[in-house]
Amino acid sequence: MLVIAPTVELAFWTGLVIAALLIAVAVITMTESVYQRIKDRRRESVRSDIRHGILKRMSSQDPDWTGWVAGLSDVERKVARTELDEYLRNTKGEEKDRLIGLGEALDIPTTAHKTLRDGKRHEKLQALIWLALLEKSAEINTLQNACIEDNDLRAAGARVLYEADHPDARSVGTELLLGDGDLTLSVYGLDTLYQLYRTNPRPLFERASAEYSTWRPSLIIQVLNVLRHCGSSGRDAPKEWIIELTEHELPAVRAAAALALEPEGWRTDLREQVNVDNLIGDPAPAMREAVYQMLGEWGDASAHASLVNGAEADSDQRARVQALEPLADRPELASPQAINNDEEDYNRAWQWVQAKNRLDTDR
Amino acid sequence: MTARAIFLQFLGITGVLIFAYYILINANYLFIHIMALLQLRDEVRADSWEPNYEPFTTPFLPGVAIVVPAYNEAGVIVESVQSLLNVNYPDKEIVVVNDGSTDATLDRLKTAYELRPIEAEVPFELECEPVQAVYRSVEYDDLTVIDKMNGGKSDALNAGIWLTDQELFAAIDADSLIDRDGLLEIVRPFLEYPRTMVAVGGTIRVANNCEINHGRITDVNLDRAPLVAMQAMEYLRAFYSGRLGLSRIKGLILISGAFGVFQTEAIREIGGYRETTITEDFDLLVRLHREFMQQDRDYDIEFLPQPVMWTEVPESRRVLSRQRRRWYRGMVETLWTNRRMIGNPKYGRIGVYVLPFFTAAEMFGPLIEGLGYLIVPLAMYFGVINWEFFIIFFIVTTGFGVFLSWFGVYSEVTSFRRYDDPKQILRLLGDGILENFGYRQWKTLVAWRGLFEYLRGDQSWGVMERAGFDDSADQTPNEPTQSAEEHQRPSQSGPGQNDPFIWGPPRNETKQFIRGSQHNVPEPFIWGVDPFIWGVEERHSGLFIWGPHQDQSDPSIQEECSNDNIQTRSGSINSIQVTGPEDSTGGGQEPTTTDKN
Repeated sequence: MLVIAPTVELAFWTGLVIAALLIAVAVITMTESVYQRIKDRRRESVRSDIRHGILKRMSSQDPDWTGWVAGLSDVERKVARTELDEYLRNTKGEEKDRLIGLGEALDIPTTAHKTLRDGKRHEKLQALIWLALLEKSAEINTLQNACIEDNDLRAAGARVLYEADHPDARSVGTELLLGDGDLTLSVYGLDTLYQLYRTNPRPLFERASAEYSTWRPSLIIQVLNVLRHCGSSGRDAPKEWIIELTEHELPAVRAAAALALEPEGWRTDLREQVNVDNLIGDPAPAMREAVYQMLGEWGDASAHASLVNGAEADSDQRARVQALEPLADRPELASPQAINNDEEDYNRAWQWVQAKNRLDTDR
Repeated sequence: MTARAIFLQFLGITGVLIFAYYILINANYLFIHIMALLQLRDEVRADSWEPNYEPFTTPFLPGVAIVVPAYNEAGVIVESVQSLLNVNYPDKEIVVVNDGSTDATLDRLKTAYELRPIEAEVPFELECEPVQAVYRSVEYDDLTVIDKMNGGKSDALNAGIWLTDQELFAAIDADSLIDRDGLLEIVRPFLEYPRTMVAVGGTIRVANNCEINHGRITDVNLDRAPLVAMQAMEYLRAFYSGRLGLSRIKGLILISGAFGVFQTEAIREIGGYRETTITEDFDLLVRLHREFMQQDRDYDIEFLPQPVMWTEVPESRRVLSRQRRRWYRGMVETLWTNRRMIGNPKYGRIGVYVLPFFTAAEMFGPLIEGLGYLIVPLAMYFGVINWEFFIIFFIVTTGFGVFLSWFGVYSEVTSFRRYDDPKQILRLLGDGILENFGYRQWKTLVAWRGLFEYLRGDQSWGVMERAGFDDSADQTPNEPTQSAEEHQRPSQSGPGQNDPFIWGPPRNETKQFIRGSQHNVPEPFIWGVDPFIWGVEERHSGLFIWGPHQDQSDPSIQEECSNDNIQTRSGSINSIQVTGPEDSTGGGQEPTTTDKN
């Protein structure tokens, strides 16, 4: 008969290994928990006073942050930093300027500059956020060396320059954000690129026009999205590349290109360059929906006519609704009676758009 | 060779095979846990810095439809919707889908949010049972309500997905609470990978006994009931170890139905949720992998540990058993449906590693464990194995199981620390031991039962009796709720037949009532007879009593329990204490992979 009989020693050693593992995990877990709790309590016990101290000095003409900070313990300084972080994100103008004084008194910019040179990735990110919040710049070389590892660091580096209103914020910031086109932007990066070009997007149009063919599709979509929200760039900015992208192989890129043309409806010459008939015949419904949205924004007679044509011809009912939505208050152009269209699907789409429009008007 | 000898030989060989199986499975669990720790370290570091941009002014956040299937949720729906309307997100649309409720769900919504019907037929096909009407709120731009014939949870989700125009949608249970910034956090990967990101899952945590204020969890507590606390630990282990580890190796095959965000078009492309499955969340993600890999598409699926959805877990073994049996049946059904993916290199690491491991550990694991409980003691009794083997077996299964559970607790302590009191941590560690003595064995029985039900063709959802959330700030009386858990087709078990709301008159000078069902008496209560009314009372104090259902119609009792007279007891979930006017002092599928050890 088969008898499975490991030795006592084996049982002992197995037990010992598992017991050692368990004891180690339990001790580490409980020690960490207790340690964190003690730290929490210490911080909570001083938080109210620190908050009061900051708020009181924020409204004073001479806050004397240096004197106040000199009298704080280590724990109190740490709490002051967390409070400052929160307040800096929620204040503007004079109040923010005073709070920046607190950041300086806490020696945050000096520490941040040092961390930027020799810190780990997450420490560098924390340092960059501090610099951005305190509107302090950093040396361009330092940023270029410290912020190349990934898209978060690049975004944070560009943000520092933007917040500090650095004269090279656009050129260096864009270089950091877009790199060689093999990156995608983080949310932070998207917003930073937008902030950099919000008031004058033309340089971004120019750069994108020259480089887009070397970019990843995701980056093309993101930059088109930024340009769309930046608004129109004036007559001279290059737009032909966007029109070319409306024929890109990926529907998502085509749709992003159509939406990027949204703010350009005022330019007759550009409208004439866009082959709207081709676009509303695109095989991808998502692209056609984007085109209808673009035409809705353009809002001229020709765009309206194209929308009606699209709505009549579109085989996708959802896209058809999208085409009719900009015409909801123009029954003389798009109602089934006006265009002699008794097709049931068209009628249903029209009735739906009308009913939604009535409800929105009531609201 | 005699029959006895053959039997003993069988016992010995089976014992060794079960032991070898445990070694293999535990080694894989350890690997996933280590991956989870690495991922968690990265996530914690990522959480240590917060970008300084204003989410509400940036134009780049994509629109998100929060689809909320509601079936007989009259008791909680208004508060749930209000809580979702309060969620911090600039471009959201709440799409409540009233799935043929037989109670006042729709009426409550109409009244509370001034709903008006869109007076036209929906012009495009919705992949669901017929829609009776679509409403929009006059008061809130971002609230839409679909009223449709009953078709089950998947069908209701599909209605919302096909109606909305939003780029993303979040599937959320009506009786769960989302962190206020949860949506802002969970959409992040969609912005970073706009072309490829199709699904992101968040963490589910246990809300029982937590304090709730204006639809927000304000104080995280561990429930006193061991069954609930053990589930809290299971959720920690499942999400902070299992999901995170699988996400690290790009092998996530489950995003909880209670909290996941998806690219709307991608889900429409694969046909939405399948209506014939009972674990629609698991089915959806496996199908997503299958379809996209078949099409050779570039896609990403991610899990984030920080955004949290709080949900109420069962407090009785009966309800928990029903829930776990359903999960088990759904898992077997999904794995069987997608069996061609298992071990198939065409499906990459999902086919070659994740699904085979998942099948071995989650589907066969509890079954083999159950067999082990029979075979190993028998083998020892007959002398086929010696006690040393038994000790080693026990150490490897139980000892290592505790070790993996504690890994989850360790992850909690070193990361986001929602349980921040060392006493809570000590309890979680204790539960990691306790669950191995009774609870774990019971779960193997539940799995076996689930398997038999599956083989029998049982497709029912069963009933999830939930108390719903008391909101200490709102001071709203809870009413019975049938959660999405029991959200089902009437043909499977009649709607509204369960979870009667029973309560009784004052006694011992304290007027109280408890929400719940006569089938779901919480632990401290027993059935009893009162001179006035039958019901249940607390074992020791005798303070709480319940009365029969029909007494709700008594106007005097209704008046006593009107909103003004009600104070929640520390916002706890299970009971509401009613004090007289003069006295205002009154107080999908989750844990799988590393669900067991």
